[in-house]
Amino acid sequence: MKITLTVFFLLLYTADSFSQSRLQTGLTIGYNSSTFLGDDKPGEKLDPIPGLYLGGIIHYPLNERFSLVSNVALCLRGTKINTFNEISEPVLFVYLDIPLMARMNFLPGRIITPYAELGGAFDVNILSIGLSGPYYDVRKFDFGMVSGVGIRLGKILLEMRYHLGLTHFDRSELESDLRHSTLSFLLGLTFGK
Amino acid sequence: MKIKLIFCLLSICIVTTSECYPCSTFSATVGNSNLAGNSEDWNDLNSMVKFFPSQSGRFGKFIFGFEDWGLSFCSWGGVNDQGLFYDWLSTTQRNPDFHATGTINYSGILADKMLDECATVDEAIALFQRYNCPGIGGAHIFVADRFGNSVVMEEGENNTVAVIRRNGNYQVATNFLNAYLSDPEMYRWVQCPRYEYIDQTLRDTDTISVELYKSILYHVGNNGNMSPTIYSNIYDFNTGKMYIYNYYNFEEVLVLDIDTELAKGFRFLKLPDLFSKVKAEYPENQAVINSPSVEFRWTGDAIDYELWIAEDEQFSNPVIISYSAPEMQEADFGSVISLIFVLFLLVGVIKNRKLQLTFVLTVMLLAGCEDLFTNVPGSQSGMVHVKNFDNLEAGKVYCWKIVAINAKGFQTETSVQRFTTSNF
Repeated sequence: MKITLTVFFLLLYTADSFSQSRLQTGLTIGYNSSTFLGDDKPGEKLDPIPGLYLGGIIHYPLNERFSLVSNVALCLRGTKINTFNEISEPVLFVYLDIPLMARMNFLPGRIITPYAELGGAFDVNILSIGLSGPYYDVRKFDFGMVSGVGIRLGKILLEMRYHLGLTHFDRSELESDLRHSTLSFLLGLTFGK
Repeated sequence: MKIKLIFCLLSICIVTTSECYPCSTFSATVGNSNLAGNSEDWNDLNSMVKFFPSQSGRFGKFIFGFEDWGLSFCSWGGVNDQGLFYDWLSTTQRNPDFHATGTINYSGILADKMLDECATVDEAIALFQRYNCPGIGGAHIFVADRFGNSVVMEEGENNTVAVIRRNGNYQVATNFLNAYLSDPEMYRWVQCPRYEYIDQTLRDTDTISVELYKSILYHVGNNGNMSPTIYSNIYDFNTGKMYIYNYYNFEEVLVLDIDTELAKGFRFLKLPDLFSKVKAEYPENQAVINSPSVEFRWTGDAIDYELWIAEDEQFSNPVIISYSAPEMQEADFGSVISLIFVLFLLVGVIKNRKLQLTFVLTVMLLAGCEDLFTNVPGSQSGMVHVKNFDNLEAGKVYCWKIVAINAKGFQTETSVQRFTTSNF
């Protein structure tokens, strides 16, 4: 946890020092709805599980229309495994999510600026837990593709983002074909100009 | 530390949303030995035991349970005089309206009826297939008999009662539906370390004993404050004896001969009251004594004790020395602190001191939050007892234990300690 916070603040500090005039930092909080994708889905069906997205924003404008965006955030993912008779078994993962995306701003210079973004994400698994206790056989690192759309109202960002895991995270003997699928609704606040 | 905190908070979220409490039950039959074991983890310290002698066609039964359930008593496990053993284990599903297809309603507690009328696992299965048991909608029941059979009955597909019999010479149940065991992709996400440990231990063993079961229960029990192990028990189907350990304290055992206890008539007792917190202190296990005399030392809250000394662990030819504890009076510090606290609150209200009120209310809030955790009473008594013994022989191995007899007449024992004497 100390490492996570250190990395987070170091990134914010480095980014801020890198370019006082152009680089923006901020905070983001959001709601996740996540489940598993893949050929080895357990149970009869999977239901999304709600989760939290909480962390920092780094925004580097390249010009009026394009910018680079990253986050360093704690992200709760998982699923609810429905077995039969609507019995549900929750599985939860906590990741340190570090996406890097290219953002295209539509209607630049307006008060309300819609945007779309696309990129990749690097994730570090911090904790994996089910009702019987923690799992020790989940991959530590995960890579994924991220895309999103949102609007910017001054310093406030409202965004809907989809994260598709590309790594099979199950490291048990079964080596199940399972990946994360996460839909996030985020509220961001940027600092500075 | 913070990762632990996150883990703890997540666990609280999961536990509070699903209310699944860890318990472990297992039985095995190896050679002539047939034993069942159970670890009951819960957040209620008011564990109770009931003794029902046999009467008017009903078998005698001994039941574990908890008193504070709005029903005055709720049966969680037990055994009858025919050697039919059972225990409930909570699972993740919450279906209070569960009604098994093709069954009829029963107005009482079906597990009690099972102990009243059934002697075998087959009879128990027939009973659960005839009558509905709503408890199956949130838990599964483990039943074992003296013939070496066992079964787990739980919610099955399409509102049926799934009957999962022992496959091999042992069976284990914890807090996931045993039906998942037949689906590796499902079991992977509910796999329980306690189940894995018991399964591995029983698979690898050639013999079973009370000591082995005690070791298993020690490993799968919970010594923490969230759903701690309230009691652990081992039932020997051949001897009819129940070995009970209170609050994860495996230093002290209560051995009940079920037939003997049932013959004493109906009784309804708090389980912790049957224990004396007795613990052997000195000579420590495997100690070497260089003198013909030794001062035995132990702790405990009982009135009377017996010091047993012998040259073998079975105590086949023991020296027994009786000892009575001096009477002690305990001060009620809890009431004094409560009184001071109430006075502090009153002064705050009268004099309108915001800081004082904030402090008092914060403490009250924290005390309320403390309900999330269970403050398990300590297993160590503050009363130290000593007894001299002067007739040790040189170059011998001795075993010793303390038998404590408490005010209710129940005897508990410490674990057996061994020491050797030098050639002086």
